[in-house]
Amino acid sequence: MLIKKIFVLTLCLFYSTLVVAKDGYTINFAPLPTKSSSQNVKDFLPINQFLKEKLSLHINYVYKKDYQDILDGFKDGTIDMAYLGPLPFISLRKDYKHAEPIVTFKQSDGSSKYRCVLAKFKNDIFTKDKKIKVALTQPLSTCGYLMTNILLKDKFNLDLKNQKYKYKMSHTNALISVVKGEFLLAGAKKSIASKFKTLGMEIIAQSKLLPGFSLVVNTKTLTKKQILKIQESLLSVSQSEYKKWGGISSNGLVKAHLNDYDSLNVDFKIPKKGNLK
Amino acid sequence: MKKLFALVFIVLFLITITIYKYMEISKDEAIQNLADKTLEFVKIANKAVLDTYMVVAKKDFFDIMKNGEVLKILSKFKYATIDEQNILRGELYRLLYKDYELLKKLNVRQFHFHTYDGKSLLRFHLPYKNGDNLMSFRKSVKIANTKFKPVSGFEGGRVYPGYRYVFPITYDEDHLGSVEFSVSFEGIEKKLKNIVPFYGHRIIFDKEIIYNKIFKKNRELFVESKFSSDYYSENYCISKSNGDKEHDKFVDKVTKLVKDSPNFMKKLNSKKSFAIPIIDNNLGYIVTFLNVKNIDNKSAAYVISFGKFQDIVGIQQRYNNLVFIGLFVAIFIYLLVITVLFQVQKIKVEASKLQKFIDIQNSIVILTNGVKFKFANKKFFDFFGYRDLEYFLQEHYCICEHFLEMDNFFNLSHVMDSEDSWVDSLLNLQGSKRIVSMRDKNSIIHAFSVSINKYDEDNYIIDFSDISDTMREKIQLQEQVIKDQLTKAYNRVYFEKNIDSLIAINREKGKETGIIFFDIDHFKNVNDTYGHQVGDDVLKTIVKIVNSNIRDDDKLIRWGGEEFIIIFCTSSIENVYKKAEHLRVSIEQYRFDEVGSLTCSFGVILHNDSYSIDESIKKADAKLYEAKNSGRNRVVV
Repeated sequence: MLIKKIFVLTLCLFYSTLVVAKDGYTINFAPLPTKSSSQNVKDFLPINQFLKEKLSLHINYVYKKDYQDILDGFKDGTIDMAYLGPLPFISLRKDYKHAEPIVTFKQSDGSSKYRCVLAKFKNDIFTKDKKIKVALTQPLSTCGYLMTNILLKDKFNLDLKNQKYKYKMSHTNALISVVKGEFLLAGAKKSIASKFKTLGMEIIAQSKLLPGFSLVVNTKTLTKKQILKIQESLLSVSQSEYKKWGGISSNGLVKAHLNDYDSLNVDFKIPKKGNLK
Repeated sequence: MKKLFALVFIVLFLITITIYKYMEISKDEAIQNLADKTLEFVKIANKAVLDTYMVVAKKDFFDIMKNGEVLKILSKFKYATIDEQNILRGELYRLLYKDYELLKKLNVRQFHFHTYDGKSLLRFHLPYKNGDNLMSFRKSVKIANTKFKPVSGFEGGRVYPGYRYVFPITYDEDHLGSVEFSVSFEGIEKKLKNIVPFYGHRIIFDKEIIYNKIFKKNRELFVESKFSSDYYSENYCISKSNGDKEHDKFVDKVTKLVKDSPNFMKKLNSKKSFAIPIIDNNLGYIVTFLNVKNIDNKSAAYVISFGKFQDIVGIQQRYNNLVFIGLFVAIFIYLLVITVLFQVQKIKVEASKLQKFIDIQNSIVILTNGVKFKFANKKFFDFFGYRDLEYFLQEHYCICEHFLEMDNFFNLSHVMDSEDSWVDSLLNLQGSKRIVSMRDKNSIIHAFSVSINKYDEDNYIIDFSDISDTMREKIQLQEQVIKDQLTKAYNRVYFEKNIDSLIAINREKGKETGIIFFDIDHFKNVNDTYGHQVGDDVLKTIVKIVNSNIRDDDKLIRWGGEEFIIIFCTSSIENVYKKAEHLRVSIEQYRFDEVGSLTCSFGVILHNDSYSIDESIKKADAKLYEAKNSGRNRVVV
């Protein structure tokens, strides 16, 4: 009788530990792989603090070296939440329906959408006579192969697969490689490329507005209640408070919708590696 | 005895504590010395590293100054429009980024060009961030672009503090701006680690001088230092994300030990370099705090070096061993002193018992080697009337001085030249002939049978048994022979028998023999006027007055009729005169029953060994005669 009692109590204790662990609000979060770890800590520190205070939710950083690893993390359940651009999200959704965007980060102009651009150094001459060298961010970066290819086709009638291109793993790296003279063009986010104007860079083409970066949750590892709480909490913050947070959150957040991504159709295969050594 | 033991214990305890404290201080000093030397080593290493970077910076600066294209871009930049400047900035980056790649490999974090008016022209580490004015908070930039002098040293900044090397750029007599090479502490640390065998080096920044000047958005890169809230260090979370967790465990542990060390905060707030040695669980650590001054010569940071130093444990161990040996020696000395004291006490008790035993003897007992008088019992002191041996020895060197020269009694005149001492002389006599006579404190003559026993190799215990009762008749007879029956002063028989030995004793003492010859003035008139009975009373009174004014050893002799001689030990004729004058006054002032006042005349001399005693007496007599003739009641020398 006593053994049975102990067994039942132990079972209850074990179950309650599990529940507490889940409700202990420790979630695994994957920030942008294109930024340094210190920059990521800096970017997400105010949001972390807020969630910790509001929901007793502790963020555990899971650093992945590229988008593919983040997508894999979603699938194997080791990542509960990630900060993703539109292309990685669409790629994830293709194979994994449990990924859902909850909030989108606004740009400095107040919009939750952004543009990708093609940029070059002013003094460099752009000629279609020979193959051009293009610097890209990452395979699953929206402004990477996807939008660069689209812009080249739309504006200059060039097919990226016929040019020399290389993944430089970040927008800044892609732009700097053009300043260095290693590449003729770089595909990058407009807000980042604009910073390089003081280095003689000019934007020669820009895309239509695209859905912004969002926090994407794993509905398989987090409960609906938890997701709702996170979403509602983040959206309940005043604009002045967002401003105080600074960094990527300084312009505020808006609710993300799945249909924002409908306009993005990826009807071609994105090469995982560049064709330039 | 217990009190003495306690006193010895307290004294030894205090000495031991004092030595222990001294050893503790010496140990702390030895350990601190090692820590201070380590600090000096860190200082030298740090300077060497900074000097190395100065060489790197200078070399690169000279390369720039030799690079015509760079100078051309900078010359154009100064006078270009904003759009032109942007392109020139890009061209400058394109021209020098490879140099920057090389500099990065040498841990130069910032390669930064400034405009002639102190604005950021191009940061190679953050190329798109430029145009901001640096003059107001970067003194190095201000000096380089206003005084056109190269500047180097530690300096804060809006992003990250570091060691700066800033050089002004002038081309064709046109000041174009300046260039800066900044080394982060990471770079310094890497090189320091190669030179100094420490576990690690950290830097903490002064809150007021450095941290408060950093852009607010960049302050997240820093956290409050664990040493003090007045200092900041790199954000632990960010460092942690880069690994090195084990290392931080060590640093955390030692940091806590440092904070608990005495006077740490005082030293930290002194803004001077210092070193702290720590021993914890038999492990030795030295943590050095190298104070870093900024370009304004203000304390801006501390470079903290954490190291394991087992040597200081060795020093402590050696001192502990010495303390242990010291304690052992102290205990040994204590036991030794206690044992010695115990033995001394035992001997004292034994000696006391012996003294008591000897003191209760009826006879006089002395301990002597025949020359030196070492011990006497109570009977001895009672007999002669001295408090103790010290008092006796102030006036006499030997009991033998008191041996009277009487027939059938041993005295010093019996000691032969072949004999070492009077003891030898006595030992050479038959037991029945070892008899001496001595006067007690009341001048009563006693006879003693002397028995001599060997005490040790040198000394004898000599027992003087009083046999006066059996010798009384003989003594009385002797007394009658040597003393004047009327006055009880010595007579001429005594004089004849003893004068030579008296002179000899005085000579042995290194003294002279004084002679006072005196008689009563107009004594015949006394007899004629008051009768012989009164005359006899006067003579007895005169002797009484004189005896009460001279020493026991001084000999008063009735020379005949109203004439007297005093023989005594003296050092000068002046003393003889003084004694005589004193006697003269004493007699003059005395009031005799019948006669009233009387006077005496005195002739005094010092006996000279070149004359016989008789000749000396005659001389004294002549002086007396002179006194008489010159009016009486006077002393003539």
